[in-house]
Amino acid sequence: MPQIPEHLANLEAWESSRRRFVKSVLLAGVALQIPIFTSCSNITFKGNVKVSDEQASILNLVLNKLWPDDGNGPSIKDLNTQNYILNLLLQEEKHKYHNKFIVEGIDWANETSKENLKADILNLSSDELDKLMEIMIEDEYGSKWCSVLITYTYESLILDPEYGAQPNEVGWTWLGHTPGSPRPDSSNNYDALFKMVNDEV
Amino acid sequence: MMKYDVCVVGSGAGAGPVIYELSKAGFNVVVLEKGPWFNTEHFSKDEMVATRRDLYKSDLEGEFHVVESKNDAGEWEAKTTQASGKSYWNGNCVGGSSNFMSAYFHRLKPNDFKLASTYPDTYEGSNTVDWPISYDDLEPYYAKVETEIGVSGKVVPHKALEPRSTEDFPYPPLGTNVFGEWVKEAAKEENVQTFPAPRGIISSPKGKRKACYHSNYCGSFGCSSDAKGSSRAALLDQAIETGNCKIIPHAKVFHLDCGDGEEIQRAKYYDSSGEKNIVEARLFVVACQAVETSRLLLMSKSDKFPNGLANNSGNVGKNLLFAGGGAGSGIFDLNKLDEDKRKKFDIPLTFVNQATQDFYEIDDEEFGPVTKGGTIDFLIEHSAPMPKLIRQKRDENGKLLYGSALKSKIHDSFRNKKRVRFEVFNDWIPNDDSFIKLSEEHVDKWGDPVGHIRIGYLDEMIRVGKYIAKKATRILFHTGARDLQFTISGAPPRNLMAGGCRFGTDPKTSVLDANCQAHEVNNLYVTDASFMPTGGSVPYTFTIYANSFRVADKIIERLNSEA
Repeated sequence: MPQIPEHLANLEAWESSRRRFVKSVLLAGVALQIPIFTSCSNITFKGNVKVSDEQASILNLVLNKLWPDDGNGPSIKDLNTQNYILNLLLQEEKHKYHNKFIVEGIDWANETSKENLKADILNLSSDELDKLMEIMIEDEYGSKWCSVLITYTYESLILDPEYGAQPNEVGWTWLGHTPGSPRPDSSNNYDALFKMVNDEV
Repeated sequence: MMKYDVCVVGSGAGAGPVIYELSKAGFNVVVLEKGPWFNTEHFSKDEMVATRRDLYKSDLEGEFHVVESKNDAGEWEAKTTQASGKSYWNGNCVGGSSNFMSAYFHRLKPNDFKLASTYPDTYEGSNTVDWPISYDDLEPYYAKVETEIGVSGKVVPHKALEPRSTEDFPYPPLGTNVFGEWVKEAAKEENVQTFPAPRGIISSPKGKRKACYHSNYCGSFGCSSDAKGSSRAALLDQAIETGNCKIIPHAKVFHLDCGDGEEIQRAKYYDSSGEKNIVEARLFVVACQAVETSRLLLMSKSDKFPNGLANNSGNVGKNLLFAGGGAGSGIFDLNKLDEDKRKKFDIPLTFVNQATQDFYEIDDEEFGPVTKGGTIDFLIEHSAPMPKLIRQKRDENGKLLYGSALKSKIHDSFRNKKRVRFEVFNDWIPNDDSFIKLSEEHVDKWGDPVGHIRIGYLDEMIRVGKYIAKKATRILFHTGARDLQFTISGAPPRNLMAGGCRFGTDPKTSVLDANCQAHEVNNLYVTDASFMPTGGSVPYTFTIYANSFRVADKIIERLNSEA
């Protein structure tokens, strides 16, 4: 059984303040330049963690259960959520326990499927998948893992498209949200300011 | 090596006035600031930077605190902020956390300077003491802040209005949401008077600073017009223009070195590459926010000060203050408002700027003898959407929502609901269990002991907070808001900290004298909120600014006399 990272024990605090969790985002600017997940490739992290095609497919499956394409607002695909998350993971060499938690959670979800429903998660029927989701949500680890994925889905819903999610402002449009002004650009986005904070410019 | 007249550690609200006034007076000032130097163009309304990755705060990976509070069993329990995820940093950059404040600028009241003698029964058993100065001593400097930093608002008579030397604020009130009018009328239903809340945000241009343009994201975000009266925008830019001020960013001071003497000779700091550097000066001013100011003094040990600089009395770090009180909220169902009301209410303008201080003193037989109360500020929830999204994550039983149920709840909350809020500020009563010391177990990325904060509070603080919150809740009810709730607890607001180096007349019981000069170290001043023996029932920034202007005058007077 994988462990819940200590800082995620208090999920509420993490949700409201999480830079230590994903300092990664040297990311954003760089992230957008990285060729990302394709259906026939493995994604290799700079650490020792890899996301296989199968793991990526499981992640996509779970994201679509957490945030279904039900006609109410943008879907995971519309928001580019999966690529957004994979990009964050790719950039996260300084905080390995972050990608570790997400990737371990993928494996845990599959193991939970096999244990409870006697089948790989990718082979479950729609009803079985619904049942698995309920099992995961009732589990402390599974609930935190799903909660983290929802938070990242939120980011893909409302962060500036500068960061590679919600193309054409589909998230803001759905919510009727007016963003603050001015919006970030390459001169003051996370990548630019992260370099300033670390005195790299 | 150049020897400066004054070395200032930190560049926020406590440091800015000293830097500004001394530079203008022709003294050579060097500022050592731990964080980077952002300028106005670096501030966009970007949740990724400001709140999701907390880039304006020090990274908990290498810099953190140990926080000790009582658990449910009543036992003290210590946890690092790395583990809790609850950062005690507030603004790691030139200008400090004043860049990111909401800027509610209420003055203290005359009684706030003499709580112990005014309410002896209330504070018996606590460490409450009167200030060594009076409201009259600080009043001219409040007026100065209103002009120099820029405060907008309108003075209207109310029962707790403090004496003023000027008729009104120099800047007219900011534009507000119609909800402000609703609050004003609702308060009348409870025989409560509200008044326009003064803000440290200018409503018309001042020099190079532009007027507030209602960017839609304010608190927690840097200001893109410099309307917000940050130390950086209002003071430091002008200090630089004098040619007498040098700001060194990425300079983490770790030791104020007295050698084998009784005065500070040099400040030692790490630069961004971790190299050690020194700065020499005649006087040293420390203002790096209460916890870190005490920590720096405690770290600065020497033969003459084996327990830390200016700490032979053992008072450094004691009587740390946060702010008592809490917050409450209510929800409006926009579909239940008529079209005109909805149109006016549901616009991207979140300033409400209505406050009441009718309960600044509580005179209610049912509550007990007359005692100190506090302030209520009314607000609309911030426009930045993530906090609202996070609140939709769970159902009424706390179970994680997902799927269509989650999406539907989110859509409804954004399209059909609007959350209104209030904040209560009452005194954090100084006590033996609220302090900062050096950790004996944990070090930061430079290998220096991190600050260990113990958070103890007195039940009276909670009792007062709840009394005021109930009054605020009734007012919200009359506005038409429903699903009303409030939370008053001993969990401190981590952006409001003071004390640790309280000022006073007795060197045995205080760290600083009435001029905020250390009793034990002739060339050391402390000008952030550390000096406050009690904090009052308002946010601290206005008073920090005012006191720093006051101390700047004292320092200039001294330097001129020594010249």
